[in-house]
Amino acid sequence: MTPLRLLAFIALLLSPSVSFAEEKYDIIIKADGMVCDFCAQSLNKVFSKKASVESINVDLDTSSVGVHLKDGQNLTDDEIKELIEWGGYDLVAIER
Amino acid sequence: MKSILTALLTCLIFVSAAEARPISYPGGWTLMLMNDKRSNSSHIHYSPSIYTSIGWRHEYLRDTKTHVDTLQMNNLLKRWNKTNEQANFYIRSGVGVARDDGKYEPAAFTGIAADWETRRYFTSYENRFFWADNIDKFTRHKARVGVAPYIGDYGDLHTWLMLETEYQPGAKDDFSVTPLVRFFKGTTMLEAGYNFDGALELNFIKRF
Repeated sequence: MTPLRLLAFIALLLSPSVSFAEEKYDIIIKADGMVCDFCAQSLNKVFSKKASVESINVDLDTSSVGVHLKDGQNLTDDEIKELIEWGGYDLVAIER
Repeated sequence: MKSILTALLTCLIFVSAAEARPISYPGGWTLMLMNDKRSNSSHIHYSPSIYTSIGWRHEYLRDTKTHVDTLQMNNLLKRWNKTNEQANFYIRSGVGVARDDGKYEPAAFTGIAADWETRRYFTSYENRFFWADNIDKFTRHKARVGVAPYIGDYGDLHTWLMLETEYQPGAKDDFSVTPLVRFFKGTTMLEAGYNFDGALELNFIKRF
């Protein structure tokens, strides 16, 4: 490992992690019923099957799901509602 | 016996058609290993949709030294989602074979389960009506309350302190109380308890 790469690696380790509120998402979804991440794992599985979704992050404190979309991709409100209900929750709001 | 089996099979078919959601996500597998003073069981099930899961369960009943293999179906009949709370109502049923000292008999069970939880508190109740013709028959009730000593974030190790009560009319030591500690992280759950009668309870669940 070159010194530059080592420095970058150390910087990465020391950098503070970004909280859910600080992270920028393409879509933030609010849902009811998210009380444990044992069950919230289902949202990861359900959303990851959508080709347009790059990644998601779940925040139980705010009952929110942050979605990163792939470049040029979109998820309609109807698709989001279907995914949330498919995962076992009730859709409350969608913020874009 | 035939009429009872027919009734249970009808119940199983009816339940599968009812509108319900299982816990697991569509396409998910779950492995459940449960051990308490009355039985040891292993149960693996697959959820083809959010409405139901179906799987195989092997159980060893300690009191009668009986091995039971059943095809089990779980259905979530109703879920209530609220802000920071959730409640569920399930029905679980199975049909199969019981083996006792080289003798085979048809076996079946059914029961309901209900729970309510927030990120801090948990409560649940379940019952089970088991029938294995001439080998064993019993009714069992279980209830739990739990509290999380801290609120973990998504992905953290979560811990619960729980108290379980069990009542099985007609059984030896028909009532028992078991304090338990439950850990779960990601898709894995482990819980252990020690019953006031001195019996160990050890449960493990993994989702794939």
